[in-house]
Amino acid sequence: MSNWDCSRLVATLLALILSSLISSPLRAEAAQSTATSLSGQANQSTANSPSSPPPGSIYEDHESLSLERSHLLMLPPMVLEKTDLPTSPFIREHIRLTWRPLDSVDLYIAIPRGVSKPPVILYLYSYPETTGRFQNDSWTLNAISRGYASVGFVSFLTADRIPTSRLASEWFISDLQESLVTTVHDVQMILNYLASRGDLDMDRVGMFGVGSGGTIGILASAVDPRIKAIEVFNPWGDWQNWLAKSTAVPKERRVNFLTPKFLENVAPLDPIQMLPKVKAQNVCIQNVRSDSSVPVESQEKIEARAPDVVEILQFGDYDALISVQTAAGVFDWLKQALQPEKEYKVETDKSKHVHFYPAIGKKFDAVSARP
Amino acid sequence: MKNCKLLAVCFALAIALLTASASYGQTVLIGVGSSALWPSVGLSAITGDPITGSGAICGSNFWTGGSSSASSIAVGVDSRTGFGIHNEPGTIWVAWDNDTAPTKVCAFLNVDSVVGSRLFLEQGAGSSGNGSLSISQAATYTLGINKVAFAQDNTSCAASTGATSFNVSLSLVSGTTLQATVFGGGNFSNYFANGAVVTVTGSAVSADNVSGVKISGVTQLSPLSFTYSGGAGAASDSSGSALVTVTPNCPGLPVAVLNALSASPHFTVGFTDIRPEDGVFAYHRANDLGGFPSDPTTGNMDYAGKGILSSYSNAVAYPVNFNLTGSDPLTGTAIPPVVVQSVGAEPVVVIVNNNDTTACGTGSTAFGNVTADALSRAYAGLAGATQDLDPSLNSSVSGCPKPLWPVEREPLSGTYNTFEWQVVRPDNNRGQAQENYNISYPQSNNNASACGAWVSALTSTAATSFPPSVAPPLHFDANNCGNPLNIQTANYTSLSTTAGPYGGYGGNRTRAIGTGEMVGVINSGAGTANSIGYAFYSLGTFGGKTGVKYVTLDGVDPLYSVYSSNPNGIAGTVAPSCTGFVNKGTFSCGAGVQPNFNGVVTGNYRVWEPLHAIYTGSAISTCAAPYTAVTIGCLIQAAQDQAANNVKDFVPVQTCGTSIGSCTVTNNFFFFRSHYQNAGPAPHDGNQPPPGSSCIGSVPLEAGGDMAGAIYPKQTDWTLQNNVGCTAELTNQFQ
Repeated sequence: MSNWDCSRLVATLLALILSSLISSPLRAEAAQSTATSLSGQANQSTANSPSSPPPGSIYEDHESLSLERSHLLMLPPMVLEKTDLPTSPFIREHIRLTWRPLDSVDLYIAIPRGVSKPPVILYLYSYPETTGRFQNDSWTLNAISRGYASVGFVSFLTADRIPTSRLASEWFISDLQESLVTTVHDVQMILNYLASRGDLDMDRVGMFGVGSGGTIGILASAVDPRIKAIEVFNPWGDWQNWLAKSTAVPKERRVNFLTPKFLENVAPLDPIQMLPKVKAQNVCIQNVRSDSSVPVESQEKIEARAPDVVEILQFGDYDALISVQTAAGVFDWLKQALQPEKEYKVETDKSKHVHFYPAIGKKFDAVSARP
Repeated sequence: MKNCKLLAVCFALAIALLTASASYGQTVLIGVGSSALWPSVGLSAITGDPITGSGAICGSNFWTGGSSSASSIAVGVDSRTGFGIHNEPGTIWVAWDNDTAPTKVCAFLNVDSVVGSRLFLEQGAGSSGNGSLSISQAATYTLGINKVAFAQDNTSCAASTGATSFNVSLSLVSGTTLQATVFGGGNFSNYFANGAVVTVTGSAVSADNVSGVKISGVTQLSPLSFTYSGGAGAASDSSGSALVTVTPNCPGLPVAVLNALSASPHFTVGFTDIRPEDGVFAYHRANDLGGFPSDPTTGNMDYAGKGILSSYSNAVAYPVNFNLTGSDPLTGTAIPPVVVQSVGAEPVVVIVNNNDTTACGTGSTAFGNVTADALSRAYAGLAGATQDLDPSLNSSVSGCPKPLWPVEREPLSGTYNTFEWQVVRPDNNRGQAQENYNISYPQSNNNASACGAWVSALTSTAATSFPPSVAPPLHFDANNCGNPLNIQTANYTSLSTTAGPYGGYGGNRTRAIGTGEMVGVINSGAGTANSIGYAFYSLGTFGGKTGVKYVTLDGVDPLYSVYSSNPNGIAGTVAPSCTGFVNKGTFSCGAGVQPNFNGVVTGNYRVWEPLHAIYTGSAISTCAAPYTAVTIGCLIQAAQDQAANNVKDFVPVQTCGTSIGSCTVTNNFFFFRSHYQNAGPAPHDGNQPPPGSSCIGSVPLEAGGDMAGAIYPKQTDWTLQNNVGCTAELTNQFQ
């Protein structure tokens, strides 16, 4: 190892350690200063040979969903909190994982008490939702019911997961390509970590995603076969329409995201493109037509691109949804899909894969509502 | 060089302007809208927050005036000139911190909900902005009239000056009205303001001598003359022997305060019972033949370009178009983004006159409940006797049955629309409405041939307008009957029980404009003792109204835990014996006297509506310590805390909690009405989650209508948010 390689490795590790261990604001300043040099070196490396970064360096390829072209280094996990009350049906851990500078991923892992090597479900809700629910007992009880471990986290550039080096103008959608790819990388790194624990059944891994989390679930499943089942609610996608019409995009900022360059960058990350490549054996898409965060035409396009075996549940509104599965029952499909093969059978008749539940709510229309 | 000089001048001017602004920082905040929040916001402006202990937000000076009459001293002016839009009169309160150099000035013009929403949202051509407040100069020489209940008008009397006694010449103007001028010439002091109290002595004409009468006709500070009412036989007396003595007073709104309001007259916040989306719908429903969305059952309201009149006064309401988003429908000017914030929930209380205590009179002690369906039929013109309300009023004693007299509000009021969509015309009963649809009623006003006989047969009544006599009945030209509200009686034999399902009892239906008029009419039993009405509850509105009693609806009490244990002695009497003034520290109510809104906070009562504030922006206005900034957020926060602790007019959506001296924003109301798409964007319930949720800051702000929405616990949406995601919600559900 040359002196140059050695010093770069030390700098990299120092940046990682600083970013994960030093508390703010010292952390911010120190890490930022170290990261500047790191960033310069990484860029230099990328410019020289993007496909083959120098061995041992921290490198992340945002052009590729797979980790194969990236090199992320996982530091030892930090257990920030562990709740293990004898009367509680679950043991919950708050763990901080770090594998890239200036960023760490907080996992909330709940393991059902008394269950050996439970199957595990990753929960990723939409930008900009926070980790609050993962610390909520009622949510956790629902998630671990029937003997499943739950792993909750948030995506890159979401909630408090925003590197201090980032400008206020840089947010999840403005950096959509990076946000999606980085979080897909996170999913793979999280699976690596979970596998290393040895207390979970990694042959039965599912992922539950909502909104942007649903999109990431689809993308992750396209590159990581360890995810055996995914259940996604209102996944974002069909980017041009979505960026033009979704209520998740502030009106005044839309114009920035409808440029050819922006659309070109995110096109490969569109569920419409990636759904046919999903490796999970069981996939369920649940769309709620009344939810304006995903325009109806985008919902329909995504559904149309789903392979035949994908189960599609279309709800006119949320009242229709809870009339079918209750708010607390939305994880049930995934848990059922992760049952041993003998207990869960994929329906092979395509016509039976699509279920439509009309809206229960009415329009404010005195004419049609008249007796 | 010339350009250089110009630049220097501009620079100097800019510096001068900036300096002037900095040396005389003046914040003016003007609200407009419904009476439901009018008193609470007034109290919060002048007394601060009872929980945080912060001082008065707008200063401790207070003046009230105006009326719903076209001659009101204060009016709202629609900025869209050239469209023939009438000014909107209303009562007003003004609060300020300093008489001569005010730095904080707040005001609130009380008009209908829909009118308030319109005046706030409408946009004039070009840069002329939204609606504005216009206060007559007469406000500076007109005494305040203590219009906000439990708040005492309070001015520091800077304009009070001069002598209190003058020898006068008296001239009879008309009837017993005398005009006084200073004997020998000159002007009176500033103490002589409209509403000032005088005593006249020494006149050779004894009828000219009076004691404790209020004067009027003052047209300036230090007036040259004023008028007052003498006794019978009053006559001119120019001898100069008459001596007038005025009770010293603060003459009116300080000139500097009036100037501040005149310099920044645009409304900065609207207050409304119903959401503005519902307000836009209400406008179209009242105005158009087709309605918006289409609504054939009310298609013939057709008040387009016509006033909606009161049966009891000169009050009038005009439907005028406006939008919530996009561009103004008249000028095309873009409407800025607005936030519509829920402030608190207030029940609409069903009230009856208490005077007739006979077996079939609404004052009967046996009568204390009505079902929503029975009420709906009464207001839809399908029931005309008291016995139709409740079996307890069905009696065979002499004099029974008795006619029922429903009094309704104007279709532009939030109260009318709340009552309409939550009682008269709920989801399962959409064919009925208050304004019309009484075509199934035999010989109703839709029967043109019967109208003449019907009108002439009406009994003498305190309701002066059958049809309204204060303006031509232009708006009822379809049948020329004048008033489509009246349930026709003339073709029935009095007390006949066989002339039709509801005929023969003489029931009528009339309209009151404004909450005050509605409650006043029911309280007095104007026209009939057996009148029934509805109004948003407030302590000021109902306090002292001994002729009014409320009834439970479907067995649910909106105000107290147990109807029969109403602390006011008589079950259903809503006259809490509270006294004093909040801003003087003398407000007092016995324990348990004020309502706990049991039916509302339990979700069981069906007629309530969140009171809303509308203001420009894209985020809810908050209030930071020390909680005294003249901002909408601080006014709302203080009003919520007032309602929780002093004058309990509504159930605050949230309060500052219970820790005195600071504010820990705490949820205080746990039900909501499902929102639906009406006029404007897609609906959102806007139920912001409790602390610790993943969805804080991620739940879409409220949007859409809600006056017809079904009632759900907020937990319903919170559970959905927690499990399915922050955009999950129960919308488009109707009551």
